[in-house]
Amino acid sequence: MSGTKDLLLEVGDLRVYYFTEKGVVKAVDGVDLSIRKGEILGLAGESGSGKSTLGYALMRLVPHPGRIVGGTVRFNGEDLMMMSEEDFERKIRWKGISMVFQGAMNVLNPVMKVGDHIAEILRVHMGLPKQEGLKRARELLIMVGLDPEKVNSYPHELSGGMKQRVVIAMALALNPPLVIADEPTSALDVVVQAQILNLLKSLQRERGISMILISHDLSLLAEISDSLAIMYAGKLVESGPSDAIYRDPLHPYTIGLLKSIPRLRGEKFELKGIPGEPPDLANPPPGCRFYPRCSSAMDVCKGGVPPVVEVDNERRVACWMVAKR
Amino acid sequence: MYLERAYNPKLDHDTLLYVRDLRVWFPLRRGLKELLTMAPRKYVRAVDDVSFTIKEGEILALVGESGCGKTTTGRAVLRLEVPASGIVGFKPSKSVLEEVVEGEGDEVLLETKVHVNVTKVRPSNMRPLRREMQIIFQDPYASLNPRHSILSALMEPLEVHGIGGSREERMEMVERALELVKLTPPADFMYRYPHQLSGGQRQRVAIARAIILRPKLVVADEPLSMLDASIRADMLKLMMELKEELGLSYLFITHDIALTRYVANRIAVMYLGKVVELGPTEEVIANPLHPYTKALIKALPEPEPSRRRELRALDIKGEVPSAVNVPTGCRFHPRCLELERAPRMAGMCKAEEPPLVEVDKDHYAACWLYAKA
Repeated sequence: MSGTKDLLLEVGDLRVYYFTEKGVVKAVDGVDLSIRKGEILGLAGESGSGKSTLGYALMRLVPHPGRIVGGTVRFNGEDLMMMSEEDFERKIRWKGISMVFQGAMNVLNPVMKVGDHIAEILRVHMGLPKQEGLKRARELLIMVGLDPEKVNSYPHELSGGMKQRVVIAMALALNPPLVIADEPTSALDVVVQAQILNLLKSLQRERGISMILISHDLSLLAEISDSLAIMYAGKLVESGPSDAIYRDPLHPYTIGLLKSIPRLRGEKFELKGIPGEPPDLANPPPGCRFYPRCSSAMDVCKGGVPPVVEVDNERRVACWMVAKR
Repeated sequence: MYLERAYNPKLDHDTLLYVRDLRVWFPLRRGLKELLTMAPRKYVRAVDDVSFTIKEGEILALVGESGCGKTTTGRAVLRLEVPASGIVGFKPSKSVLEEVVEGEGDEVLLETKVHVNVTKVRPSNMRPLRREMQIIFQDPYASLNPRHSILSALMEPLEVHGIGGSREERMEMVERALELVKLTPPADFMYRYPHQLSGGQRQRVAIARAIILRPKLVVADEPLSMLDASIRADMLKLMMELKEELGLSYLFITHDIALTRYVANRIAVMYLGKVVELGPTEEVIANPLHPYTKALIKALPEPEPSRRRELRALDIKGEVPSAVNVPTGCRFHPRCLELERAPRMAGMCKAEEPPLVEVDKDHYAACWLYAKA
């Protein structure tokens, strides 16, 4: 579609490890990603696959005892990993990349009004006086489809869907070109979930915001994402345009995930699970990390880490079956 | 006229569970102002006159959003909540029936004489019934005591109910239950503690605990929603196998209407404490009648990346009202787009609660669109 000049974010060989008492947990282990301007990337994976850690790493907010141990993150051409913390805080965090944290709607300060939550961000990052901050807060609430008068509401007066909109408004406060949303709808009912997805879609369409949506729900991601990245046990197993992956998944893990999703429409196939459980990341299996659960495993999978192969048109797969083809 | 078609749960000999006009209201505390003005007490109308039946070997899914009363309904069926009114008829095995009648007399039986009205049984006499009515909870991280080994978690129900003559016999039952839920070999799992198991394995233990007493009815309250997608399908398969092998029936409570297609014979859709639609699963999904069911189905994410840039039209407005101040008439009317399209209906919809009536064969909906003569 377009060349590298449209690239907003380019992640190369990113590694984030947690140094725990039990050993080193390689939560993100050599991940490559790229996002173009105005694109929505869906990052899918099971619990413990490292998808949230990847989000934290892009914000440089990996919690203790985790550390970014290597890799590059280029954002608008600048290497974020080389930046000093002061520069990162001043130029990038919240202004360049912001994040809707998982469950953030449940940790809004109960004694602070909605408007003050937003005004505080503007005060801290831009030195905006409170009155102006509240004015901007009203605009932001309208942008996320809320009544601007809600600046005077307390969090407990809002429904779950409204609180999620407030949290999204907070992430948009400084006009960041990239927003990371970690499970933005997972605690919400289907109708509210659809409303939030509509909101995210219109933010992309009307304001050209790029997004990384992190979710365990592949059908939700397929509904909204331009491209998909499937994560398993700290590694990306497959990435590329979402229609291509959805129509013709290549990695056995992606294939398995798609077969396990109940469908409301169309023919009713038998749901198939993936046997076994994800590995312990402190002690991952050698070779392909999916090998112990894979139905098409071969001898080579046990011994060697599968190379990432570019298949066609920006599709990448890390599987020996594809590599050997 | 419409009353002839109104839903009337059938109480037959093969009915395992018969729920009629079940009502669970939770009283709210009155504030000082309300006490002084003698204002009437307010209630959270969690379950408000719900009726349905489950036949032996059948799976009924109870579907709805959070706060619609589906979990409370499941709990009230097991007498884990005390209903304000209504009937919960359960058909126990002969021996349990005798035990219950011995403790309570004939008055707790329904007219079939094989169904016990669970709401009438004194708590102290519930124990024999509990053997045959079990529950699987949503959260396998919260439903197992972290200080009990798997063995003692599974021994406990046997001891409480005095099943098995000796410890050896009980051990065998525990082993068998673990085998049934595919935690094999049992010796590998019995002496572990919950924190040593994964979420999927814990949920298998929770299922083993529910089936170890050989129940007839299992209330499964969102048993899959805390599990990863890749594990769900196998758990579902296990539950279906157990149903066949042990002759179970399920009341399957879920928010995921897509899942019901793979599970249930019939589904009941709940909204704000009421069943608004009831019918065979495929029929309800392919041909939903109630505007709420239609909206719910339309809101599901559609994994069709080629249409990803389109906004999805939602056939519903506003948000779920509080179950304390239930809207007048049809409780869905403030959110209903059908009413917006046909304002002449307002007289009916805002004034009177629509009855659940049969629209197609065995397919019921509570909406004035269908209830008119």
